[in-house]
Amino acid sequence: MENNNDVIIKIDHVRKVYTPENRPEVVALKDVELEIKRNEFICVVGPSGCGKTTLLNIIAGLEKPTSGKAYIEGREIVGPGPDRGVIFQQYALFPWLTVKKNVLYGTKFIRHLAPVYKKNKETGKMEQVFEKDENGNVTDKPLMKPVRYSKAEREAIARKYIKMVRLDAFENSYPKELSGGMKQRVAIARGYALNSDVLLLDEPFGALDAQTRSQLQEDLLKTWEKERKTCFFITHDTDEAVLLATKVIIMSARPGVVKEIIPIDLPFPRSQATKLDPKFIEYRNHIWDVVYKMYLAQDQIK
Amino acid sequence: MKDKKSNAFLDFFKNIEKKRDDFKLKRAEAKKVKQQNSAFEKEVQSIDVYELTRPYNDPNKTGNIKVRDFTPWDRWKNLLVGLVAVIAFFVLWWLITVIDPTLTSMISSPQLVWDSFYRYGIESNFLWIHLGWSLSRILIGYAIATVTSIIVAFLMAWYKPFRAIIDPFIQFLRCIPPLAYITIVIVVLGTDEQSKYFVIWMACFLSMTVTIYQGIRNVDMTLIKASYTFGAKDKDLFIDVMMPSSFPFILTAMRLGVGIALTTLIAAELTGGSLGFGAFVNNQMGTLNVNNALMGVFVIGIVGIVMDKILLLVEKRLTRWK
Repeated sequence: MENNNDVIIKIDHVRKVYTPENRPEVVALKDVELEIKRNEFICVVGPSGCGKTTLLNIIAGLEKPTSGKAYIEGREIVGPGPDRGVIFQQYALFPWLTVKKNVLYGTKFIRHLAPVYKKNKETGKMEQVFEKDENGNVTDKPLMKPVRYSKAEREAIARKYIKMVRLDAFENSYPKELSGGMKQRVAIARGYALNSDVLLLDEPFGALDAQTRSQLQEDLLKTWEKERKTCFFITHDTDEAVLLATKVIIMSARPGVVKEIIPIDLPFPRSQATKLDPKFIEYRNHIWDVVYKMYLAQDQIK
Repeated sequence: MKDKKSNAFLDFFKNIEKKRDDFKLKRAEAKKVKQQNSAFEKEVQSIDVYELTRPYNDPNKTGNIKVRDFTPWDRWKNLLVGLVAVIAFFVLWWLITVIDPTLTSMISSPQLVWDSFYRYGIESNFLWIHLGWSLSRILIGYAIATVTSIIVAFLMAWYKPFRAIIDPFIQFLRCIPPLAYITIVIVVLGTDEQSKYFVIWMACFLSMTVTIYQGIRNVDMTLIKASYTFGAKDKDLFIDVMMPSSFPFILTAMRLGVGIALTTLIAAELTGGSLGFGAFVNNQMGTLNVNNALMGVFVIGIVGIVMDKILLLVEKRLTRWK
């Protein structure tokens, strides 16, 4: 693969300033520069208010940077789209849809390339259409067009990912009937069902208890090992960051800047047992130390 | 000359002495205050805050209220209590009219109201014909109000300029009782059916629009964000997120609307004609026939309860996900 192609997300001198009414303006991000390579698992840690979520929203296209630009595969990000799946901390499941329909809804608008068929007027048969070159001669390259998935295809996708998060028994339950961990698993299935190259996760396990969290971490690891994607994962938990990431980004607060980028050199497959690895502990301690010092510094400013 | 000079000299020293004394006095006072303060400090420190803030627990009970499980019997009990209250009301009414029969000219009596119902509703079909007319007016006015208020509320939520234009009118008209504009309605629309539809529509539409609009504004922002990230466009967002999430509010507005339609019935049928239940009640009130008027009031009330229960059932059915 070309080296240039390797970079999937590029954050180019992004600055984000909030100007609330009657209050001084807040610099959420100050000149952030970042390159994320394909299939990297990035974990972002940092004290609260360091602009982690702002950065994620900018990549997702839900917020516009004040200055600077963000790119995905070389295209400038101007708005949200199904090429970047987002998993929110508050699950964001549609309460009026069942588990299966929630996952189905994620695949409703995505399109894939499919060969074009056209009815032959003479024979009445469907025939494949081929591309034409500049001279109007038919080549042997089939003409492809983006189309939406059929109902059956979407059903198959939904079933696959619901099974992946082990919720087949709850397919027809409404979100209110599920526990927090199950809801988040539905959200993960929905995010994965998009089959986008990029997955953005905003503290997805933040509201869960320790047991459910470690279970979901393992689930996510397994899924990621099976189907590698570029993940941008925000967390407060340094253990979680080191366990999941191939690269940990430490951000500092007010103004939000990237302070340190630490490649995590731990072998895959990982599991909760990885936490006993002395290397893991080293990474964890280092990151914890840096983040904790930032918290202390914040307190002193106050 | 010399004297004056020496005096000034002495004054100077006296001043200094006075100042020194003052200073000594102040210092002594400050010392005293300091001592007092330190005594207070010591007292504060000697208080055992842990003991002081120890809560008092009643040794004979734990908990301020008794918590218990909700049993099916509770539901029946509540229904039964309501039924008993209703029966008690009728018995009380009946007792009053038995004790003092002259009062029946003012408050009628259960027996007389029943007689009236028997005469109009069972011996003849007079009641049902009039009720039919009224119900058709209510349902048509209400149905139009439901459709228009949903459309207007969504337009208000979607287009800010539309909201800016229409909001003052809605807020203004909402506070005006229908009786106040009946004359204008008669002048403009005449005494036919359309004026009755209009009065009922107007009253329902205003309240329902406000309710539905509030419901749409309550849509969870993360759901909107999520559906955008799936690639939904504004049109999809409207159909897939805004409509279902505001659906419970639409149903609430519809229940509200039924009540309003019934309460404006009498006003609506003041616009002319002798057909209709509101007109019947109006006529009976006008001729001080309390029995018939009260019978009409009861029928309207019961119709209201029945319609509300039907809508409640529909609501429970359709919003099972809540």
